[in-house]
Amino acid sequence: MNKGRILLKLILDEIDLGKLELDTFSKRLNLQKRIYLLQLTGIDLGYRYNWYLRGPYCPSLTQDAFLLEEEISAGEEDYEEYKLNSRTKKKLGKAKEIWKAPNAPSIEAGSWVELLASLHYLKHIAWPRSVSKEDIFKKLVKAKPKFADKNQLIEKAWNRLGKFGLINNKLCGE
Amino acid sequence: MQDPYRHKIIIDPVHGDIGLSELETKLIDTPTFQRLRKLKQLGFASMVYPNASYSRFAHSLGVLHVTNRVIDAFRRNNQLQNEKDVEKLRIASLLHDIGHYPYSHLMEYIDWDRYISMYLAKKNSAKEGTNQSVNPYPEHTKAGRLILTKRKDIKEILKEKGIEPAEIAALIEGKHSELPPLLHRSLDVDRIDYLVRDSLNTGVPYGRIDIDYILNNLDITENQDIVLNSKARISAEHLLVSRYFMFNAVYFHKTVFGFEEVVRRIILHLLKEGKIYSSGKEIEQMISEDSHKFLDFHDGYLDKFIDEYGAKDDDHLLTILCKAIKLRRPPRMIHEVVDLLPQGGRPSTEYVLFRSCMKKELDDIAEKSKIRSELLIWRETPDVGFEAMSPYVGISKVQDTQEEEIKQLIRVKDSSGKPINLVEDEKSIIHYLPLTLKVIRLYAVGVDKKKEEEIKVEVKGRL
Repeated sequence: MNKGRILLKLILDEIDLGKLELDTFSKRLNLQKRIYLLQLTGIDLGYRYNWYLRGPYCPSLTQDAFLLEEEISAGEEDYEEYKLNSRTKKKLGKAKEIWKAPNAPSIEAGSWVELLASLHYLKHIAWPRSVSKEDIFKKLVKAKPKFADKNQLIEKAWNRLGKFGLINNKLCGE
Repeated sequence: MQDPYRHKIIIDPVHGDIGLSELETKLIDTPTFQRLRKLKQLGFASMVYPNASYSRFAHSLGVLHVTNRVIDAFRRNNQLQNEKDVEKLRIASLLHDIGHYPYSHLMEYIDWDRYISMYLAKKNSAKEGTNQSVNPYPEHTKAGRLILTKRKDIKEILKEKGIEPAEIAALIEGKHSELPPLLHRSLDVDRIDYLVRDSLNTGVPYGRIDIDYILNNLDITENQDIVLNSKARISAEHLLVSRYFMFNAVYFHKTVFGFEEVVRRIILHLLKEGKIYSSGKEIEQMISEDSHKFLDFHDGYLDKFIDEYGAKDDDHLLTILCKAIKLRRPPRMIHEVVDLLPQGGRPSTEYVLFRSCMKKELDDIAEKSKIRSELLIWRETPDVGFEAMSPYVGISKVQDTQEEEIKQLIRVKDSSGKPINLVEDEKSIIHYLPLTLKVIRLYAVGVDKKKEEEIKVEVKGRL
């Protein structure tokens, strides 16, 4: 087990995904989006995301998660020698606040993290980049019709990202 | 009307004539692109295969050519009709390696382990882990983005033609939401070129895939998915098996791999001693400031240190390591375990035991063998399988696999014309090869035959 996967395992334990339940796509998608949002707090695990129908997705993260599952079932226990340090735990605490589901309107946890990650990706990573908030919302709904009548939720997700400083109106890397 | 993509013709040993547009010719003529001539595609493979010293410059031209053949397939299917889109895809292919480091991944990821350690602490220690803040080097794709968007030569040529450099960077990174990601699939243009080029230049025949047959049998689905006609199934199988053999014969060759590990240690020491760029921030500054420094940041940047330290006559670690490279004194392989694991298979007892021994007993082995522990180096190769997903999971066993997860798999039409994943096709040999190759090796640097035998005895006694 390399250091990267040791760190991934300890982080997944901390965010209650340590059992590595990967049998359905929705579970794998949930893991994907949470790691995406976690990386926004400054813990860079090296996973680079591309845009797909269900928003940002990183094939190498799925591969690492399955590999981790295999390593653990093969008896590798290298991760037992380590723990997350307090700085990492603090950042994880912030990540949990980012994806904490809103009280209302209600939304399934997986869809909420999908919404947060997709809005961020459309705003800051994807090309072509939409500049205005309205353009990004339009693009989101076009890519994900299931959010078509969920304006209030989209707005909430946008504000949540803004609250944590994840919406930057100045585009970088240009 | 003259074909705009035959403004200039370059003769290539793999593909024959490669046609270039006027814009592509201008890009190739920039100092930033010419730097690719000084980056070896195959790193230290030339220590074993003398002719394997071709450059990323040649490979980049080859990828441009393969991209053009794939674009032809799109156009035969009435897609990619916009000339500007074609122009962008070709340029992204041409520039896809522009951000590579001296000796590529050896330098690029040199600080990654130390960076990951920043988040961890040992369980039995009161310490909070390293207090040092580690700022790792940017990945080559990020470096590429900086080159395209900050350095004047390429940026100005693109802008003059109404092409946004950031859009080309997005295509290289696979972040373009509208144009197809030709560089990010199992049947990707990068891999098709390097397998054949590596094979030709090493003389190892296993990588000689049937490029023409593959490229002539490409078909494009409505959602821009690239699939192969059923009659090209054997060629696709050959491609995947070839890749596996090339890993065994060239990329993980015991001497090539040993030399690369020595160089990795050299780079780590140079970094520790402040001889090379000390952080990602410094690299980003160097790229962005648009000076000659980046043009000198090629294999020769590390070679000069290897030459300097390798010429010294002392017993410093760096001297010994650099001498091994400079004078081609291969590290001696003391022990190796190779596992070829079936899906879900556990590594062999031999593998687990050897790995545990390396983690816990290396210092002791060194002491008993009277050799500096830093001269005993062990490493595992990255796991290699036949298809992107199969080493880790049988996709037929996972519920509701989605587009995201299979995009990197090769797809072939079945007899009814329906595209299926080759790895799921029961008529394909790939379906029966869900295997993962794992290799772990221990080397000793700068030792004679007698010392090598002593260390071998010491290690064997522990396994």
